[in-house]
Amino acid sequence: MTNKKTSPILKMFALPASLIFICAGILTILGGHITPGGGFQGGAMIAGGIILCLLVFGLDDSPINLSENFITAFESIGALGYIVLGLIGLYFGGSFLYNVGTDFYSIVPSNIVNIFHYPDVTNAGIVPYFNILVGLKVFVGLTAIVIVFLGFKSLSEEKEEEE
Amino acid sequence: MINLGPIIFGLVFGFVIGSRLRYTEYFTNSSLIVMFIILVLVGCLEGAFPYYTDFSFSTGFIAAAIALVLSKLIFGRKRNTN
Repeated sequence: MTNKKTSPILKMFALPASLIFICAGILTILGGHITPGGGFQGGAMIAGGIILCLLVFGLDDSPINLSENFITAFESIGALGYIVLGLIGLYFGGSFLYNVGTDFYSIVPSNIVNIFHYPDVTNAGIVPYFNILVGLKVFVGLTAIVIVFLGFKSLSEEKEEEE
Repeated sequence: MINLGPIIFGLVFGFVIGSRLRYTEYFTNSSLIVMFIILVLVGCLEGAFPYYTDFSFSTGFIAAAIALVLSKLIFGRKRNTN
């Protein structure tokens, strides 16, 4: 589906604006453990940038084009990564989603703590990794919904033209 | 102290999304350079974020901007010919 009704001014504005939205979304995800924001909010901001391009350019001509394989892969990485991190906490700490990167109760071996320690001064452990995985899943999931709706719209328009 | 977290994961996220960019009628190599300059300006104006002590600009934002442009140039696809 190509959106030919959109004005060229809007098309020239859409991509730079969406790149700014995407970078701001990434920043929101990465600061999620110390500032307001986090995985869902940042992921929604990234999806907002991509959706802006999809609405302005249309599904076929959008400069940011997510394929079905890409969407499937990153949805799976987000969900499975979250579960795997939770299971690592269960294995080493005794409870699901135990923060093995911080280890408040000193029950995890120090080499495991070093692996999962997020490289910053706040000692947040695995919380930033959760934000990143949730952000991946949310941006791909929200964009997939809009892609499906645009696909349905183009199908219904084709049907109307046939009738 | 330099916080590596936002820099590393900003680059990773930027590479993931930048690999899906493709050229269109309104998006060429020259416009990519202009967009990169705009993104760096926005990152500098945003100030030190999410950590307030390491740099005077937003490290995650600029890392993401650099990765977006680089991955577009390395992995990005050509124009849709359909």
